[in-house]
Amino acid sequence: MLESGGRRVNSETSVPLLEVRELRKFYPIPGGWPGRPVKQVRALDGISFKLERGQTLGIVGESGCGKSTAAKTIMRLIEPTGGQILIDGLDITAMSKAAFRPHRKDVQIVFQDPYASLNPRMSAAAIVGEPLRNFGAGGAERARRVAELFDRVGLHRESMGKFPHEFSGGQRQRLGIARALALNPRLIVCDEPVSALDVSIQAQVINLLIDLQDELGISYLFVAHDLAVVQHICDRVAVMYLGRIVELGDCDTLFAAPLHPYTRALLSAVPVPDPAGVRKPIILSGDVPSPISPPPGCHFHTRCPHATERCRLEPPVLRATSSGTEVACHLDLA
Amino acid sequence: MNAPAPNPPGAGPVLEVDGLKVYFASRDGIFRAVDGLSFALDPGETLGIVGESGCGKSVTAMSVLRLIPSPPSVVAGGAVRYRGTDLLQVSEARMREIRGNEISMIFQDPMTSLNPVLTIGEQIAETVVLHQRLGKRAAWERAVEMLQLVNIPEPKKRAGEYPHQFSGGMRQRAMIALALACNPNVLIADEPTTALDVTIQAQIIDLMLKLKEEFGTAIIMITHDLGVVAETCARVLVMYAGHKVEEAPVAELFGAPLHPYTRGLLASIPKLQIQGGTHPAGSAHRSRRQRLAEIPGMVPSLSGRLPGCSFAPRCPLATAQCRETAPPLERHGDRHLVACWKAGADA
Amino acid sequence: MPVTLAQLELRLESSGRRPWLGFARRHPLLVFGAALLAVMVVLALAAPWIATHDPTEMDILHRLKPPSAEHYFGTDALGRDVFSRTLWGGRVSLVVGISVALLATSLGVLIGMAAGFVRLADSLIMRVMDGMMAIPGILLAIALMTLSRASVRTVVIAITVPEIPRVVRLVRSLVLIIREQPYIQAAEAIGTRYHWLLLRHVLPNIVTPLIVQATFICASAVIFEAYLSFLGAGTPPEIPSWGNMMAEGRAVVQLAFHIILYPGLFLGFTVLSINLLGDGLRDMLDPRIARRL
Repeated sequence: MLESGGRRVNSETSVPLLEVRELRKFYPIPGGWPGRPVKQVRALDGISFKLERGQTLGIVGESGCGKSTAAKTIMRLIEPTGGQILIDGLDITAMSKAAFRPHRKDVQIVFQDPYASLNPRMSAAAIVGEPLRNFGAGGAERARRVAELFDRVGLHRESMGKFPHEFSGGQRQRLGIARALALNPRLIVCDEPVSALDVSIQAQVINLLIDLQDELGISYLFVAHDLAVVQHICDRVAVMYLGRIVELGDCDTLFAAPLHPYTRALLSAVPVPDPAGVRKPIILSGDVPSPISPPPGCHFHTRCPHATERCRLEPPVLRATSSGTEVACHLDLA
Repeated sequence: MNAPAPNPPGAGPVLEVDGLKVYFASRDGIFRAVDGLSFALDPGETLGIVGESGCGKSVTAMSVLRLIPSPPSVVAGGAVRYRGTDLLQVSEARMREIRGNEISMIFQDPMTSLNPVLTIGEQIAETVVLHQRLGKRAAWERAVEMLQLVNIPEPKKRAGEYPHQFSGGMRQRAMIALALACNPNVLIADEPTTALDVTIQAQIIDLMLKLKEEFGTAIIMITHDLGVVAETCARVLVMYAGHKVEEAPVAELFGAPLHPYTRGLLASIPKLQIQGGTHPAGSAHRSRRQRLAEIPGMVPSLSGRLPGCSFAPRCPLATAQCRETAPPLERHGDRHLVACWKAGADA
Repeated sequence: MPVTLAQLELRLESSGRRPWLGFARRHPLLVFGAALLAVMVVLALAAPWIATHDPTEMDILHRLKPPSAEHYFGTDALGRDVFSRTLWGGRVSLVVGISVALLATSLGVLIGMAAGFVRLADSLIMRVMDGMMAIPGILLAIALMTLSRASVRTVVIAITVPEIPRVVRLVRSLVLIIREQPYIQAAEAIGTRYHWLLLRHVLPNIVTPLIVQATFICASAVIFEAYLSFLGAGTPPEIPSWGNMMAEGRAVVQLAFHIILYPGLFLGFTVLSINLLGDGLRDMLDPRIARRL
């Protein structure tokens, strides 16, 4: 499959559906003389990972770690500052918006806020049908497909004419998912899709996502801060801190035996709904440093209980360990 | 220092809510946000109120302190007794004396709950000056003391800073300091950690437990996060559509829940399995990627009053009786209350 | 003031039984403003039929007469009937008010959206707008009037131009906010092209504050036209307008106060009603206030 205007990287071996290489996104902070380089917010500081077909990769981290930025940059909703994004081997990083547009059919996104991600002045049918309209589907075909999508996500066909404010949060999120499914994408980026929902509705939406994956073979890039949800739905997971991936690996392995000190602290901090459960949270000192001037060397060293001199000077790179998990840490973590 | 007199031992609950009904009126009808809620809070105890959006937990909290304007709200019945006195009947002047002094509240969003144009120190000192009749200097010292207590580094310097200079976690600590400055008997915490990152949440929970030990404050912890409840509360009550559906000591609620809603809720949460957790590493690889037990349907609209149990439309055990008659709260076991005709039955 | 449940239930019931009464109670400003404006509009539109005389017919013998049965509002310095002129003057004000509101809003939306969306254009446009706002509107309008022969059309253009920056500012700030909304990003993610994005996603969501703004522009334009005409730089003297009537009446104010009074009253009521309408609309379109009992 050669696409015009793109560069096939590897047509021989099985190519990952999504590959990200050293992706960077810096935001310049306004101020100073025009033309003078000033401080930057290093939202993404060189992240790399692969996502295979039919898999779900989770990205976890706390606020400011860059996970949402990563999700949007991969969708080219935010323009990357550096690095590469490859979809099925095709380098989409530097494509013009016009050239990239046809490829949008392959990668879709579900947003976090069920209230703000739907145009309040468009009917539900119009919202779900818009992707089809954008790519040339006629009125009758749109109507048929929208009805199909409503069925698939568990919404009543009768509610097609309603407006977003007439739906509940969970239903709105289903609309967002229906919209994302309209173009039959191969990858759906989920940016905190259940964080804003009630607990009992979260389960419904998570189940829907799992069902869709089983039926349609869609891959997910699942960005979330709720570790329990991530563990439940993901095959592999990447842990981010201040714009970098600190640990990346198979979900079960990583949760069972976290290696990076930050991952350990993160996992130990999650409150468990079991009063008998013994939890010894590793309390990290201080707050997350600002991404404007992140600490030199390893970004985590200011809060790490095991920081050494080397950690202050040299940024660690992701290296594979015996368990298959990759870690970015200088320490010898057994 | 004039702290409010602590509850004399053996004097009964410090706060008692009795049949509280709070309704809201709008053009679309009358919404029964809280429809006959009763519970008691003992001195020094931590009570959790759990429920999803629309269950009435926040309205309950705000009603205790009479913070909801009326109209559009109206208290249609019930009483809120603080050490025997019904707060819903006392004068506004007396309420002002109680708020921040004897009953304090901390809110979910620390960004908008602190006045952005006053320094943190000024805000804490203000409440101390108001309630404890201390002079400005002494109030400021007390403010610094409180910041120290909540583990804010360099408290003297920080007291002179503005809220925007604090991080989210620190702002929440400042709120806690503000709430506890006058050593209240009751602290109402409305989703105090929901807006915070997980590692910061752990710090705040840790802090609250520590302070509870030191001050002996009774805490009402309102949250939708069952994990937080399990860690902090001694007793829990579960609310649904303005009613209390179950109340039990925490171990019993999690270990042997009786109401189908509580069971459904507990079953629908993915449980984090980690090192040293209940499942050995490497086993049950397929425990995830399996469908979660979901509760079908949605929380009912609060305006129509259904004749029967409000959970019946979503309940796997609902019978005709459930749909016709609302179940009363009944005692099952020592301190375990359930409102269900089918309490404890399996699907 | 705390209310009881019984009182609220009563209010709810009464608002359900006779919805228009409930509407009037909830939005008194809107209803009053709309009613008053309706009266003024009807009077102006019906001028050809209810005016007692030809507004331009001079009758020097009966000039400066006070109000009487024959001339309800008296006569002016040239013997023309003030009542008829006042009614016909209303037509000018209406035309100017509505035209300016529509024109300024449309142009403002186009320019504002360009400023909000195209970063390069933004600085340029906003500096031009700042420059325009720095010049007092009246002076700008007068300057524009000197460029061509006076007529109602030129008056409309002259008044529109100074009103544009206000709209541009509003639209630009709305666009900047909307641009960040997830549903705009979602539209981009599903391949929506720019023109559809602006038309279907941005425009419908800025309409509400624009409507309110347009009513205030209308009021402002009506007064503006009166100023210009009063100064002699507006509607040409052969067309009756409240402004030039008041200008002519100024010279004889001690003798014939009625010449200024009636157009002034009509002007005041018209502008008041438009402003009340605008305020009421703003409240009605605010969802929080609208659903109050």
